[in-house]
Amino acid sequence: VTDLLDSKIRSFLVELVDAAPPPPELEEIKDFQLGIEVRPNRQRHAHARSGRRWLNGRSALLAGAVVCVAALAVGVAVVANETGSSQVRVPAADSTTQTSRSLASPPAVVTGTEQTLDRADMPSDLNMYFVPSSRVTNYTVKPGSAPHAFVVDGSPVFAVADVTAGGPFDDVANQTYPGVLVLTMPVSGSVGQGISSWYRSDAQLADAPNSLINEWDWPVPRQRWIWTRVPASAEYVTLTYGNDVQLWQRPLDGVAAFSFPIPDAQMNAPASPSDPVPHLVAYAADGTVLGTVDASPR
Amino acid sequence: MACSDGEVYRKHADELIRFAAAVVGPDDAADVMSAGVLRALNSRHWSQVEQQRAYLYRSVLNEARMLLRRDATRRDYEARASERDLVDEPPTPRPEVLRALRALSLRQRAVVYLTYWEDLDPATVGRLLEISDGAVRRHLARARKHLRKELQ
Repeated sequence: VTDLLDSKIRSFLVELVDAAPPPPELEEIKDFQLGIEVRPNRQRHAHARSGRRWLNGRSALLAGAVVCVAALAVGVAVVANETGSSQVRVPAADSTTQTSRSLASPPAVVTGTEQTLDRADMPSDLNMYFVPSSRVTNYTVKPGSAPHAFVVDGSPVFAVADVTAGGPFDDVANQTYPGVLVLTMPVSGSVGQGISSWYRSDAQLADAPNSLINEWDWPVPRQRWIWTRVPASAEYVTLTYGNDVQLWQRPLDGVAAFSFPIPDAQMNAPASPSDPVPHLVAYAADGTVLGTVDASPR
Repeated sequence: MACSDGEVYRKHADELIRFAAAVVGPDDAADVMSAGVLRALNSRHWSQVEQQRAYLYRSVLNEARMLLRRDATRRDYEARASERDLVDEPPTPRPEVLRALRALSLRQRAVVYLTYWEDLDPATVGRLLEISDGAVRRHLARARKHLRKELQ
């Protein structure tokens, strides 16, 4: 009986191991840390529009965030150790400027329920990532810009910053990659420790779907969509998601973010190409469309 | 003479990707392995680590743990989605194999892999995972119990 079980266990392992992908090249891992789209130099089942093509499509969205957490979690330790966690070099965002937004009624084309995007105090745990450090969190806030923290509909605080990413490794140390860094505080201890992060280079952001960043507010089954490059003169942004979700918002600092539940139908059934994807539209004060963006189909 | 990070990585990459596939399944193996390797290489203690292989194994296992803790529900959802989305796939394990994998705790998966695939004795497995021999045996016994049921 034991031999039979051992044989089955070995077969079980063979099946798993045989399906393992080839190990990534070290250079791919380094690039992955920077969030840079990696050359697709091997056959992988890439998600149709995944920003990181060498990731498996099933988990690209998820693992991108999770692995960045891993990389940045190291950064927390390093930065905290090197700078002291209370040392804040970048001023926290002003939490009192919400009234700077126009309070005029939106034009008729802007329909649905208003979902307010509010500024939040920059948590020191996030702020430390914007402090230049020596090795891991090698993001530098672009001169003249400042990171901002936001909250929408009670979801976890997130921060957005225009940054340049430089490589911590020798072969890319002299290169920098301008882009956007989005960090989110952990929802709660029940989902683990760490800070979720997304980095998108300007090149990636030029591809409209890539300028939409999706965060999942686990364990609460909500999804949050962050548009990091809302056209500068936009006064309103709308989000349409299927037939049931129609929201609008006044963007702040070129950022719009919406949070809404994941439909039960998606939670409890396989995804389908017919599942809705968010459609966002930026409007000027007079209702002129300034830009649109659709999330990549899942 | 100390090896460079690249040399260390190349030396262990194949076994680490197998290990990752055995503990989280092939789909997430590359991501978990990458995160684990990154974490290890970026560790401020890395240059002083004597047992680099063991350190890499534990780092990969930690990433697997983080992945599973954070994303159990979502991964389920995405796994179901992938069954419909992906057509030109490399061979993937049968559903019953993945179900058997999910029946094990992460540590049980690691112990099973290291015991059956790498043919390591409990003492060596214990050193790799920084747990006692007894704990290795307990994890292995429980894993076998689960697998007996799942693989019948």
